[in-house]
Amino acid sequence: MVGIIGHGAYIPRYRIKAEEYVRVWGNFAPGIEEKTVCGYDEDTTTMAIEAADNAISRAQIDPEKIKMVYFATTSSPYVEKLSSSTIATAVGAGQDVRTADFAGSTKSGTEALLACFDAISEYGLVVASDFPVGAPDDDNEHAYGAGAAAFVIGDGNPVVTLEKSYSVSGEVLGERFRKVGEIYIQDLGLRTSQFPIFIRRSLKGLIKELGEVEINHVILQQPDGEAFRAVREFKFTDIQLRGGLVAQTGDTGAASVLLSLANVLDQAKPGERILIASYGSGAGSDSLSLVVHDEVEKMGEKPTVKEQLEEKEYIDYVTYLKFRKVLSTFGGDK
Amino acid sequence: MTSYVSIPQYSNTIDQRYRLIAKKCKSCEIINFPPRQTCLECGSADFQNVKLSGRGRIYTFTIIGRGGAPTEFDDLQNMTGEYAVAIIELEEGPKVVAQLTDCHSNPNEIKIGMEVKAVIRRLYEQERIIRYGYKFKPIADG
Repeated sequence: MVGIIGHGAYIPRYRIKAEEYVRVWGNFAPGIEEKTVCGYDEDTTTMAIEAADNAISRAQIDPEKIKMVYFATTSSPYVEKLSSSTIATAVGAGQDVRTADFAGSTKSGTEALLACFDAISEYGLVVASDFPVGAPDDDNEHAYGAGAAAFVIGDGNPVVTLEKSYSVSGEVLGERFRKVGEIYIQDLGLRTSQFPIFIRRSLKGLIKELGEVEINHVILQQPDGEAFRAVREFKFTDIQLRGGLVAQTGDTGAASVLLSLANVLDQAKPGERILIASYGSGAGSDSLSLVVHDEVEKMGEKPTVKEQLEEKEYIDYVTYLKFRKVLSTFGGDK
Repeated sequence: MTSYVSIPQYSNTIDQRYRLIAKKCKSCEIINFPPRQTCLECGSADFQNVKLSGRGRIYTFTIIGRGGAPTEFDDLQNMTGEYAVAIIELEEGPKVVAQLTDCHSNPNEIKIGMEVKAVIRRLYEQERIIRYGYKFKPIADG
């Protein structure tokens, strides 16, 4: 049976509080108390490596047996040049590996996960890592936070199996985009966000295929703390939705739903069912249902998402701009 | 001016920088890290590769203040202030020079003997290429 045999997460040490943004700009994104921030020497690739190391040691496999490394982000350090190959090298996956970078969408994490499930051979590694980049004077920037999640997929005694998935797509213009050569994510703020509509469409499609089943956890793409409003008609409870992390991390883009999945797996019980709904502007949504197995209780110990959230150091806004290299005329390159 | 490490030279050290691959001497069994052409202990050139755990202790350290950084770390220093460079005694034996990271607000709380673990970070950029490699971060309650 093919499934996830180990998960891992990485959350950087630094945090900036909502109050600090309010002090500087007068406002902040709704439903976020603080967000996670990369140190000066971190990026989506370094976060991915640490999450992947955690997943591989939790799965207790030899990394040389990994034959696929799929990496998802919206903010790769290179626009062209594989980051998945950097990650594959750093985790010791050997050289006979299929690497792929999934980019350009906040739903690239679920795209990579589904692609790996579809084509798995021996062991596959899926890593989603993100720290979206916005202009400092654009309100959309406020929410962007940092984090990574990784999953080893394999045939054997899985912790979690993929039950069903359902995807929807449609042409949507003006929402969260970045043109060639641009650094910052733009949003025309048309107040016609398709997020709730697409999330509902893909969840409805999935739930229709599942029929009457018990749902224990629901994980939504969380661009801010208001995502739950999109699914009111499903009457999910706070307990079902408790795995979401946006209040502590901010919007982690392509890592959003998979980091929440890692958090849920830290605490999940055998037999539980997890629903995930991702969203990518432009637009599309992937919904997945996953089932937790007995092996969840035999996984190796690794720092949980919660433990990593507790390990933190607060920084002020100027330090944030320096860590982000916004105040560096060199952008780190000399 | 920047101290220059060419891309081919850097590429040849990827295994040590990304994965801490060391050279274990086949005649005296001493672990050489960073890898060397000949064994530091006995001069033999016959090695096998071993992967180090990345765990160790701070043997000694120094704080690099303003103006003290090699030029490729100027931007790091401008953006983060003082930073620490340490000699780490790895649990497999070798001692290695590396930066400490994730101790932004408290470089003065670094102590000799503290437990650390290796993490892969951006060291610096040169020729627009990101140079990744190991640094060490203190382990909580270490």
